Amino acid sequence: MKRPERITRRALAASLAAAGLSAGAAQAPRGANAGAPAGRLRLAAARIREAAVNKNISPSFRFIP
Amino acid sequence: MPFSAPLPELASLAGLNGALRSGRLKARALVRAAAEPLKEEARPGGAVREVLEDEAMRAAHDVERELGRGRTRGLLQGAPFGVSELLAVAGRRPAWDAGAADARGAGDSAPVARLRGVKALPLAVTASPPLGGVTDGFLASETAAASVVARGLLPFALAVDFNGNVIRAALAQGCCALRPTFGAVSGYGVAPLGWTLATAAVLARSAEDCGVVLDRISGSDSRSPHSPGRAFHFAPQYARAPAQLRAALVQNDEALKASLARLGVGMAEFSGPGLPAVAVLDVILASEAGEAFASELESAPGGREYLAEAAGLRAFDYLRAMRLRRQIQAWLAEAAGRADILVVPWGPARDSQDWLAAEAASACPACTVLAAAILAGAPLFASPAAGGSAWFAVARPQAENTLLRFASAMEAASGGGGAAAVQQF
Repeated sequence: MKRPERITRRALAASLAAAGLSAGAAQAPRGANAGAPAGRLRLAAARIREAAVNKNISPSFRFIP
Repeated sequence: MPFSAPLPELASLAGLNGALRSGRLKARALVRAAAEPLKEEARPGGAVREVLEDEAMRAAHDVERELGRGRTRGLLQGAPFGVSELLAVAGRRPAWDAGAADARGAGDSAPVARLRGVKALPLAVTASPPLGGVTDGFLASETAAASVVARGLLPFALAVDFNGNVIRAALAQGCCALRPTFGAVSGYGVAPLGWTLATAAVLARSAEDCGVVLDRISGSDSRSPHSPGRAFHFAPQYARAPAQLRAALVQNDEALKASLARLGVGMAEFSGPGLPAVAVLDVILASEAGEAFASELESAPGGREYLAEAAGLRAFDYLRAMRLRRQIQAWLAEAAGRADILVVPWGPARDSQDWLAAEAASACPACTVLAAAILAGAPLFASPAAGGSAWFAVARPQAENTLLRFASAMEAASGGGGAAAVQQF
Protein backbone atom coordinates (compact mmCIF):
# COMPACT_ATOMS: atom_id res chain seq x y z
CA MET A 1 0.00 0.00 0.00
CA LYS A 2 1.30 3.43 -0.99
CA ARG A 3 2.16 5.61 1.98
CA PRO A 4 0.58 9.09 2.04
CA GLU A 5 3.01 11.80 0.98
CA ARG A 6 4.35 13.76 3.92
CA ILE A 7 3.74 17.49 3.60
CA THR A 8 6.50 19.45 5.22
CA ARG A 9 6.10 22.99 6.45
CA ARG A 10 8.69 24.13 3.87
CA ALA A 11 6.87 22.41 0.96
CA LEU A 12 3.57 23.98 2.07
CA ALA A 13 5.13 27.45 2.22
CA ALA A 14 6.57 26.97 -1.28
CA SER A 15 3.17 25.90 -2.66
CA LEU A 16 1.44 28.88 -1.07
CA ALA A 17 4.10 31.26 -2.38
CA ALA A 18 3.61 29.85 -5.89
CA ALA A 19 -0.11 30.59 -5.56
CA GLY A 20 0.63 34.16 -4.44
CA LEU A 21 -0.39 33.53 -0.82
CA SER A 22 1.58 33.70 2.41
CA ALA A 23 1.65 30.99 5.05
CA GLY A 24 -0.69 31.68 7.90
CA ALA A 25 -2.66 34.40 6.04
CA ALA A 26 -6.39 34.21 6.60
CA GLN A 27 -8.46 33.57 3.48
CA ALA A 28 -11.30 35.97 2.80
CA PRO A 29 -14.66 34.20 2.63
CA ARG A 30 -15.95 33.75 -0.92
CA GLY A 31 -18.85 36.09 -0.60
CA ALA A 32 -20.76 38.31 -2.99
CA ASN A 33 -17.63 39.90 -4.45
CA ALA A 34 -15.62 36.73 -4.94
CA GLY A 35 -13.79 36.83 -8.24
CA ALA A 36 -14.60 40.49 -8.77
CA PRO A 37 -11.86 42.29 -10.70
CA ALA A 38 -9.58 44.82 -9.08
CA GLY A 39 -9.62 48.36 -10.44
CA ARG A 40 -12.01 50.24 -12.69
CA LEU A 41 -14.22 47.33 -13.66
CA ARG A 42 -14.53 46.25 -10.03
CA LEU A 43 -15.88 49.71 -9.20
CA ALA A 44 -18.22 49.61 -12.18
CA ALA A 45 -19.53 46.19 -11.18
CA ALA A 46 -20.01 47.36 -7.60
CA ARG A 47 -22.00 50.35 -8.82
CA ILE A 48 -24.37 48.28 -10.92
CA ARG A 49 -24.89 45.83 -8.05
CA GLU A 50 -25.97 48.74 -5.87
CA ALA A 51 -28.41 50.16 -8.45
CA ALA A 52 -32.06 49.31 -8.03
CA VAL A 53 -33.51 47.24 -10.87
CA ASN A 54 -37.17 46.72 -11.53
CA LYS A 55 -37.98 43.01 -11.10
CA ASN A 56 -40.22 43.01 -14.16
CA ILE A 57 -37.46 44.01 -16.54
CA SER A 58 -35.82 41.22 -18.52
CA PRO A 59 -32.28 41.50 -19.89
CA SER A 60 -33.35 40.80 -23.49
CA PHE A 61 -32.80 43.90 -25.53
CA ARG A 62 -34.16 45.45 -28.73
CA PHE A 63 -32.52 48.54 -30.10
CA ILE A 64 -35.53 49.86 -31.94
CA PRO A 65 -38.47 49.47 -29.53
CA MET B 1 -9.69 75.12 -37.04
CA PRO B 2 -8.23 76.65 -40.26
CA PHE B 3 -8.80 74.58 -43.35
CA SER B 4 -5.54 73.34 -44.82
CA ALA B 5 -6.58 70.75 -47.38
CA PRO B 6 -4.18 69.91 -50.19
CA LEU B 7 -7.09 70.67 -52.54
CA PRO B 8 -9.86 73.13 -51.67
CA GLU B 9 -12.32 70.79 -53.40
CA LEU B 10 -11.91 68.35 -50.50
CA ALA B 11 -13.75 70.79 -48.23
CA SER B 12 -17.17 69.31 -49.01
CA LEU B 13 -18.52 66.32 -50.91
CA ALA B 14 -20.87 68.49 -52.96
CA GLY B 15 -18.00 70.77 -54.04
CA LEU B 16 -15.78 67.81 -54.83
CA ASN B 17 -18.45 66.08 -56.88
CA GLY B 18 -19.17 69.29 -58.79
CA ALA B 19 -15.49 69.65 -59.69
CA LEU B 20 -15.25 66.02 -60.83
CA ARG B 21 -18.44 66.11 -62.89
CA SER B 22 -17.59 69.38 -64.57
CA GLY B 23 -14.14 68.08 -65.52
CA ARG B 24 -12.35 70.88 -63.63
CA LEU B 25 -10.68 68.14 -61.58
CA LYS B 26 -9.75 64.68 -62.81
CA ALA B 27 -10.20 61.78 -60.40
CA ARG B 28 -6.63 60.54 -60.83
CA ALA B 29 -5.19 64.03 -60.25
CA LEU B 30 -7.30 64.20 -57.10
CA VAL B 31 -5.98 60.85 -55.84
CA ARG B 32 -2.36 61.84 -56.56
CA ALA B 33 -2.75 65.18 -54.75
CA ALA B 34 -4.57 63.65 -51.79
CA ALA B 35 -2.10 60.77 -51.46
CA GLU B 36 1.02 62.95 -51.05
CA PRO B 37 0.32 64.33 -47.55
CA LEU B 38 -1.15 60.99 -46.50
CA LYS B 39 2.12 59.26 -47.42
CA GLU B 40 3.94 61.67 -45.11
CA GLU B 41 1.60 60.53 -42.34
CA ALA B 42 2.30 56.86 -43.06
CA ARG B 43 5.29 56.71 -40.69
CA PRO B 44 5.62 54.94 -37.33
CA GLY B 45 3.43 56.86 -34.92
CA GLY B 46 1.70 58.74 -37.75
CA ALA B 47 -2.04 58.93 -38.37
CA VAL B 48 -1.98 56.66 -41.44
CA ARG B 49 -1.12 52.96 -41.45
CA GLU B 50 -1.19 52.47 -45.22
CA VAL B 51 -1.94 54.51 -48.34
CA LEU B 52 -3.81 52.49 -50.96
CA GLU B 53 -2.67 54.70 -53.83
CA ASP B 54 -2.27 52.12 -56.62
CA GLU B 55 -5.67 50.60 -56.02
CA ALA B 56 -7.28 54.06 -55.75
CA MET B 57 -5.62 55.17 -59.01
CA ARG B 58 -7.13 52.19 -60.85
CA ALA B 59 -10.57 52.94 -59.40
CA ALA B 60 -10.13 56.65 -60.24
CA HIS B 61 -9.43 55.71 -63.84
CA ASP B 62 -12.77 53.85 -63.90
CA VAL B 63 -14.49 56.94 -62.46
CA GLU B 64 -13.01 59.14 -65.19
CA ARG B 65 -14.28 56.77 -67.86
CA GLU B 66 -17.73 56.62 -66.27
CA LEU B 67 -18.01 60.39 -65.99
CA GLY B 68 -16.71 60.70 -69.54
CA ARG B 69 -19.70 58.78 -70.81
CA GLY B 70 -22.15 60.57 -68.50
CA ARG B 71 -22.58 57.79 -65.93
CA THR B 72 -23.05 59.36 -62.50
CA ARG B 73 -23.48 57.61 -59.15
CA GLY B 74 -24.14 60.38 -56.64
CA LEU B 75 -22.01 62.64 -54.50
CA LEU B 76 -19.54 59.96 -53.44
CA GLN B 77 -18.42 59.01 -56.93
CA GLY B 78 -14.65 59.52 -57.07
CA ALA B 79 -14.43 60.79 -53.48
CA PRO B 80 -11.36 59.45 -51.62
CA PHE B 81 -11.88 58.41 -48.03
CA GLY B 82 -10.12 56.94 -45.01
CA VAL B 83 -10.92 53.73 -43.18
CA SER B 84 -9.89 52.91 -39.64
CA GLU B 85 -7.92 49.68 -39.46
CA LEU B 86 -10.74 48.31 -37.29
CA LEU B 87 -12.81 47.85 -40.47
CA ALA B 88 -11.78 45.14 -42.89
CA VAL B 89 -10.46 46.27 -46.28
CA ALA B 90 -10.06 43.73 -49.09
CA GLY B 91 -6.57 42.35 -49.47
CA ARG B 92 -5.42 43.53 -46.05
CA ARG B 93 -5.21 41.33 -42.97
CA PRO B 94 -7.56 42.75 -40.31
CA ALA B 95 -5.39 44.27 -37.56
CA TRP B 96 -7.83 43.05 -34.91
CA ASP B 97 -8.03 39.42 -35.96
CA ALA B 98 -5.03 37.43 -34.73
CA GLY B 99 -6.56 34.29 -36.20
CA ALA B 100 -6.50 35.58 -39.77
CA ALA B 101 -3.41 33.97 -41.28
CA ASP B 102 -2.92 36.39 -44.17
CA ALA B 103 -4.71 38.77 -46.47
CA ARG B 104 -5.72 36.19 -49.06
CA GLY B 105 -9.46 35.83 -49.19
CA ALA B 106 -10.02 38.79 -46.85
CA GLY B 107 -12.96 40.80 -48.13
CA ASP B 108 -14.24 44.29 -47.48
CA SER B 109 -16.32 45.08 -44.44
CA ALA B 110 -19.93 45.82 -45.41
CA PRO B 111 -19.65 49.65 -45.16
CA VAL B 112 -16.48 49.73 -47.29
CA ALA B 113 -18.05 47.40 -49.86
CA ARG B 114 -21.11 49.68 -50.12
CA LEU B 115 -18.89 52.72 -50.66
CA ARG B 116 -16.92 50.92 -53.36
CA GLY B 117 -20.27 50.18 -55.00
CA VAL B 118 -20.84 53.89 -55.61
CA LYS B 119 -17.20 54.32 -56.71
CA ALA B 120 -15.92 56.10 -53.64
CA LEU B 121 -12.20 55.46 -53.32
CA PRO B 122 -10.67 54.00 -50.14
CA LEU B 123 -7.32 55.78 -50.09
CA ALA B 124 -5.93 55.49 -46.58
CA VAL B 125 -6.11 53.03 -43.70
CA THR B 126 -5.88 55.14 -40.57
CA ALA B 127 -4.07 54.00 -37.45
CA SER B 128 -6.05 52.91 -34.45
CA PRO B 129 -4.80 51.99 -30.96
CA PRO B 130 -4.50 48.21 -30.42
CA LEU B 131 -8.07 46.85 -30.31
CA GLY B 132 -9.32 50.42 -30.61
CA GLY B 133 -7.94 51.24 -27.17
CA VAL B 134 -10.78 49.31 -25.53
CA THR B 135 -8.49 48.64 -22.56
CA ASP B 136 -8.29 52.39 -21.92
CA GLY B 137 -12.01 52.65 -21.23
CA PHE B 138 -13.26 56.20 -21.66
CA LEU B 139 -9.80 57.46 -22.63
CA ALA B 140 -10.03 55.50 -25.91
CA SER B 141 -10.18 57.77 -28.94
CA GLU B 142 -10.06 57.36 -32.72
CA THR B 143 -7.69 60.30 -32.92
CA ALA B 144 -5.96 59.41 -36.19
CA ALA B 145 -9.08 59.13 -38.35
CA ALA B 146 -10.51 62.33 -36.84
CA SER B 147 -7.26 64.19 -37.33
CA VAL B 148 -7.02 63.24 -41.02
CA VAL B 149 -10.53 64.60 -41.62
CA ALA B 150 -10.14 67.67 -39.39
CA ARG B 151 -6.99 68.69 -41.28
CA GLY B 152 -8.78 68.33 -44.60
CA LEU B 153 -6.55 65.53 -45.90
CA LEU B 154 -9.64 63.51 -46.78
CA PRO B 155 -13.30 64.55 -47.00
CA PHE B 156 -14.52 61.74 -44.76
CA ALA B 157 -13.49 58.60 -42.93
CA LEU B 158 -15.09 55.56 -41.33
CA ALA B 159 -14.19 54.41 -37.83
CA VAL B 160 -15.60 52.08 -35.19
CA ASP B 161 -17.38 53.60 -32.20
CA PHE B 162 -17.86 51.35 -29.17
CA ASN B 163 -18.01 53.72 -26.20
CA GLY B 164 -18.10 57.19 -27.74
CA ASN B 165 -14.45 56.95 -28.82
CA VAL B 166 -15.26 58.40 -32.27
CA ILE B 167 -17.49 61.13 -30.85
CA ARG B 168 -14.78 62.18 -28.38
CA ALA B 169 -12.11 62.10 -31.11
CA ALA B 170 -14.17 64.38 -33.36
CA LEU B 171 -14.84 66.84 -30.54
CA ALA B 172 -11.15 66.90 -29.62
CA GLN B 173 -9.76 67.11 -33.16
CA GLY B 174 -12.31 69.51 -34.65
CA CYS B 175 -14.44 67.64 -37.18
CA CYS B 176 -18.00 66.31 -37.24
CA ALA B 177 -18.97 62.74 -36.40
CA LEU B 178 -22.18 60.78 -36.74
CA ARG B 179 -22.72 57.59 -34.79
CA PRO B 180 -25.89 56.15 -36.39
CA THR B 181 -28.70 54.19 -34.76
CA PHE B 182 -27.25 50.85 -33.73
CA GLY B 183 -27.81 48.33 -36.51
CA ALA B 184 -28.41 50.90 -39.26
CA VAL B 185 -24.98 50.04 -40.65
CA SER B 186 -24.07 46.39 -41.05
CA GLY B 187 -21.46 45.17 -38.58
CA TYR B 188 -20.07 42.60 -41.02
CA GLY B 189 -16.28 42.97 -41.17
CA VAL B 190 -16.29 45.58 -38.41
CA ALA B 191 -14.19 44.73 -35.33
CA PRO B 192 -16.73 43.31 -32.83
CA LEU B 193 -15.34 45.22 -29.86
CA GLY B 194 -18.80 45.08 -28.33
CA TRP B 195 -21.40 42.89 -30.01
CA THR B 196 -24.20 45.16 -28.84
CA LEU B 197 -22.22 48.42 -28.78
CA ALA B 198 -19.74 48.76 -31.66
CA THR B 199 -20.87 50.29 -34.93
CA ALA B 200 -19.25 51.97 -37.90
CA ALA B 201 -19.42 55.76 -37.52
CA VAL B 202 -18.77 58.56 -40.00
CA LEU B 203 -16.26 61.39 -39.58
CA ALA B 204 -16.71 64.30 -41.99
CA ARG B 205 -16.51 68.08 -42.21
CA SER B 206 -20.24 68.86 -42.03
CA ALA B 207 -23.55 67.37 -40.98
CA GLU B 208 -24.61 67.17 -44.61
CA ASP B 209 -21.56 65.12 -45.58
CA CYS B 210 -22.17 62.77 -42.64
CA GLY B 211 -25.73 62.25 -43.91
CA VAL B 212 -24.61 61.63 -47.50
CA VAL B 213 -22.16 58.95 -46.36
CA LEU B 214 -24.60 57.28 -43.96
CA ASP B 215 -27.17 57.14 -46.77
CA ARG B 216 -24.76 54.96 -48.76
CA ILE B 217 -23.40 52.69 -46.02
CA SER B 218 -26.67 51.87 -44.24
CA GLY B 219 -29.04 49.07 -45.18
CA SER B 220 -30.13 45.60 -44.22
CA ASP B 221 -27.65 42.76 -44.20
CA SER B 222 -28.44 39.15 -43.36
CA ARG B 223 -24.85 38.72 -42.08
CA SER B 224 -25.42 41.35 -39.36
CA PRO B 225 -27.67 40.21 -36.47
CA HIS B 226 -28.80 43.71 -35.47
CA SER B 227 -29.77 44.89 -38.93
CA PRO B 228 -33.25 46.47 -38.76
CA GLY B 229 -34.01 45.44 -42.34
CA ARG B 230 -34.24 48.93 -43.75
CA ALA B 231 -31.87 51.60 -44.98
CA PHE B 232 -31.46 55.21 -43.94
CA HIS B 233 -32.31 57.75 -46.64
CA PHE B 234 -30.82 61.18 -46.19
CA ALA B 235 -33.73 63.56 -46.71
CA PRO B 236 -33.38 66.39 -44.17
CA GLN B 237 -35.74 68.56 -46.20
CA TYR B 238 -38.60 66.37 -44.94
CA ALA B 239 -37.48 66.52 -41.30
CA ARG B 240 -38.96 69.10 -38.96
CA ALA B 241 -37.38 72.55 -39.06
CA PRO B 242 -35.42 73.63 -35.97
CA ALA B 243 -38.17 76.09 -35.03
CA GLN B 244 -40.56 73.13 -34.68
CA LEU B 245 -38.24 71.22 -32.36
CA ARG B 246 -37.82 71.14 -28.62
CA ALA B 247 -34.33 70.71 -27.22
CA ALA B 248 -33.04 70.05 -23.72
CA LEU B 249 -29.68 71.52 -22.81
CA VAL B 250 -27.95 69.00 -20.57
CA GLN B 251 -25.58 71.54 -19.00
CA ASN B 252 -25.80 75.28 -19.06
CA ASP B 253 -23.84 76.96 -21.86
CA GLU B 254 -24.70 80.55 -22.75
CA ALA B 255 -23.32 80.43 -26.32
CA LEU B 256 -25.29 77.28 -27.14
CA LYS B 257 -28.41 78.68 -25.51
CA ALA B 258 -28.09 81.80 -27.68
CA SER B 259 -27.67 79.70 -30.85
CA LEU B 260 -30.76 77.64 -29.97
CA ALA B 261 -32.74 80.82 -29.31
CA ARG B 262 -31.67 82.31 -32.68
CA LEU B 263 -33.00 79.20 -34.43
CA GLY B 264 -36.29 79.44 -32.52
CA VAL B 265 -35.81 76.01 -30.92
CA GLY B 266 -38.17 75.43 -27.99
CA MET B 267 -36.51 74.53 -24.72
CA ALA B 268 -37.40 71.60 -22.48
CA GLU B 269 -36.27 70.71 -18.98
CA PHE B 270 -33.57 68.07 -18.59
CA SER B 271 -33.40 65.54 -15.79
CA GLY B 272 -30.86 62.72 -15.77
CA PRO B 273 -31.62 59.00 -15.66
CA GLY B 274 -30.51 58.54 -12.07
CA LEU B 275 -28.86 55.31 -13.21
CA PRO B 276 -25.13 54.50 -13.52
CA ALA B 277 -24.99 54.53 -17.34
CA VAL B 278 -21.19 54.88 -17.43
CA ALA B 279 -20.72 51.85 -15.15
CA VAL B 280 -23.25 49.82 -17.15
CA LEU B 281 -21.46 50.64 -20.41
CA ASP B 282 -18.07 49.73 -18.92
CA VAL B 283 -19.30 46.36 -17.66
CA ILE B 284 -21.09 45.39 -20.89
CA LEU B 285 -18.14 46.46 -23.05
CA ALA B 286 -15.61 44.60 -20.90
CA SER B 287 -17.72 41.44 -20.94
CA GLU B 288 -18.26 41.51 -24.70
CA ALA B 289 -14.77 42.65 -25.73
CA GLY B 290 -13.07 40.37 -23.19
CA GLU B 291 -14.92 37.31 -24.43
CA ALA B 292 -14.45 38.08 -28.13
CA PHE B 293 -10.80 39.15 -27.95
CA ALA B 294 -9.37 37.02 -25.13
CA SER B 295 -6.39 35.82 -27.18
CA GLU B 296 -5.68 39.26 -28.71
CA LEU B 297 -5.86 40.96 -25.31
CA GLU B 298 -3.17 38.61 -23.99
CA SER B 299 -0.64 40.31 -26.25
CA ALA B 300 -2.02 43.88 -26.34
CA PRO B 301 -0.47 46.60 -24.14
CA GLY B 302 -2.37 46.55 -20.85
CA GLY B 303 -4.56 43.84 -22.31
CA ARG B 304 -3.68 41.10 -19.84
CA GLU B 305 -4.74 43.22 -16.87
CA TYR B 306 -7.95 44.27 -18.63
CA LEU B 307 -8.70 40.66 -19.53
CA ALA B 308 -8.16 39.57 -15.92
CA GLU B 309 -10.63 42.22 -14.77
CA ALA B 310 -13.14 41.37 -17.49
CA ALA B 311 -12.89 37.65 -16.69
CA GLY B 312 -13.68 38.51 -13.05
CA LEU B 313 -17.09 39.85 -14.06
CA ARG B 314 -19.79 37.29 -13.53
CA ALA B 315 -22.80 36.35 -15.63
CA PHE B 316 -24.87 37.99 -12.88
CA ASP B 317 -23.06 41.30 -13.52
CA TYR B 318 -23.67 41.17 -17.27
CA LEU B 319 -27.35 40.31 -16.83
CA ARG B 320 -27.86 43.05 -14.27
CA ALA B 321 -26.10 45.53 -16.57
CA MET B 322 -28.40 44.51 -19.43
CA ARG B 323 -31.47 44.97 -17.23
CA LEU B 324 -30.24 48.42 -16.19
CA ARG B 325 -29.67 49.09 -19.86
CA ARG B 326 -33.38 48.49 -20.50
CA GLN B 327 -34.21 51.06 -17.82
CA ILE B 328 -31.78 53.53 -19.37
CA GLN B 329 -33.39 52.95 -22.76
CA ALA B 330 -36.80 53.64 -21.22
CA TRP B 331 -35.44 56.85 -19.66
CA LEU B 332 -34.12 58.01 -23.05
CA ALA B 333 -37.49 57.27 -24.69
CA GLU B 334 -39.22 59.27 -21.99
CA ALA B 335 -36.71 62.14 -22.33
CA ALA B 336 -37.23 62.04 -26.10
CA GLY B 337 -40.94 62.50 -25.46
CA ARG B 338 -40.23 65.85 -23.80
CA ALA B 339 -37.39 66.97 -26.08
CA ASP B 340 -36.64 65.95 -29.67
CA ILE B 341 -32.93 66.61 -29.20
CA LEU B 342 -30.64 66.48 -26.18
CA VAL B 343 -27.82 68.99 -26.64
CA VAL B 344 -24.66 68.47 -24.61
CA PRO B 345 -21.84 71.04 -24.40
CA TRP B 346 -18.40 69.45 -24.30
CA GLY B 347 -15.15 70.88 -22.95
CA PRO B 348 -11.59 69.53 -23.32
CA ALA B 349 -11.51 68.70 -19.59
CA ARG B 350 -13.88 65.80 -20.26
CA ASP B 351 -11.29 63.97 -22.37
CA SER B 352 -9.07 63.06 -19.44
CA GLN B 353 -11.78 62.82 -16.78
CA ASP B 354 -12.34 59.73 -14.64
CA TRP B 355 -15.87 59.15 -15.87
CA LEU B 356 -16.82 56.55 -13.30
CA ALA B 357 -15.83 58.81 -10.41
CA ALA B 358 -17.47 61.82 -12.04
CA GLU B 359 -20.73 59.95 -12.54
CA ALA B 360 -20.66 58.62 -8.98
CA ALA B 361 -20.34 62.22 -7.78
CA SER B 362 -23.08 63.39 -10.21
CA ALA B 363 -20.44 65.72 -11.64
CA CYS B 364 -20.68 64.81 -15.30
CA PRO B 365 -24.20 64.61 -16.74
CA ALA B 366 -22.58 64.89 -20.19
CA CYS B 367 -20.73 61.59 -19.61
CA THR B 368 -23.93 59.93 -18.41
CA VAL B 369 -25.92 61.11 -21.45
CA LEU B 370 -23.20 59.95 -23.87
CA ALA B 371 -23.10 56.51 -22.24
CA ALA B 372 -26.91 56.31 -22.09
CA ALA B 373 -27.27 57.15 -25.79
CA ILE B 374 -24.76 54.46 -26.75
CA LEU B 375 -26.47 51.88 -24.54
CA ALA B 376 -29.86 52.71 -26.09
CA GLY B 377 -28.44 52.61 -29.63
CA ALA B 378 -29.58 56.19 -30.29
CA PRO B 379 -27.93 58.34 -32.98
CA LEU B 380 -25.31 60.86 -31.87
CA PHE B 381 -23.85 63.79 -33.76
CA ALA B 382 -20.68 65.61 -32.66
CA SER B 383 -19.99 69.17 -33.74
CA PRO B 384 -16.62 70.85 -33.25
CA ALA B 385 -16.25 74.27 -31.66
CA ALA B 386 -16.91 76.95 -34.28
CA GLY B 387 -17.30 80.36 -32.68
CA GLY B 388 -18.59 78.73 -29.50
CA SER B 389 -18.51 75.47 -27.57
CA ALA B 390 -18.06 72.03 -29.00
CA TRP B 391 -21.19 69.97 -28.46
CA PHE B 392 -22.88 66.73 -29.28
CA ALA B 393 -26.53 65.94 -29.66
CA VAL B 394 -28.69 62.85 -29.22
CA ALA B 395 -32.00 62.06 -30.94
CA ARG B 396 -34.34 59.10 -30.67
CA PRO B 397 -33.41 55.96 -32.65
CA GLN B 398 -33.83 56.33 -36.43
CA ALA B 399 -34.29 60.13 -36.20
CA GLU B 400 -31.02 60.87 -38.02
CA ASN B 401 -32.67 63.26 -40.48
CA THR B 402 -34.02 65.41 -37.64
CA LEU B 403 -30.64 65.31 -35.93
CA LEU B 404 -28.72 66.24 -39.09
CA ARG B 405 -31.07 69.04 -40.07
CA PHE B 406 -30.78 70.47 -36.58
CA ALA B 407 -26.96 70.12 -36.71
CA SER B 408 -26.75 71.85 -40.10
CA ALA B 409 -28.82 74.74 -38.79
CA MET B 410 -26.58 74.99 -35.74
CA GLU B 411 -23.47 74.95 -37.97
CA ALA B 412 -24.94 77.80 -39.99
CA ALA B 413 -25.93 79.72 -36.87
CA SER B 414 -22.35 79.52 -35.59
CA GLY B 415 -20.79 80.26 -39.00
CA GLY B 416 -19.64 76.66 -39.62
CA GLY B 417 -19.55 74.56 -42.78
CA GLY B 418 -23.20 73.64 -42.88
CA ALA B 419 -24.42 76.90 -44.40
CA ALA B 420 -24.74 75.56 -47.91
CA ALA B 421 -26.65 72.56 -46.65
CA VAL B 422 -29.20 74.66 -44.80
CA GLN B 423 -29.87 76.87 -47.79
CA GLN B 424 -31.00 73.95 -49.92
CA PHE B 425 -33.45 72.54 -47.33
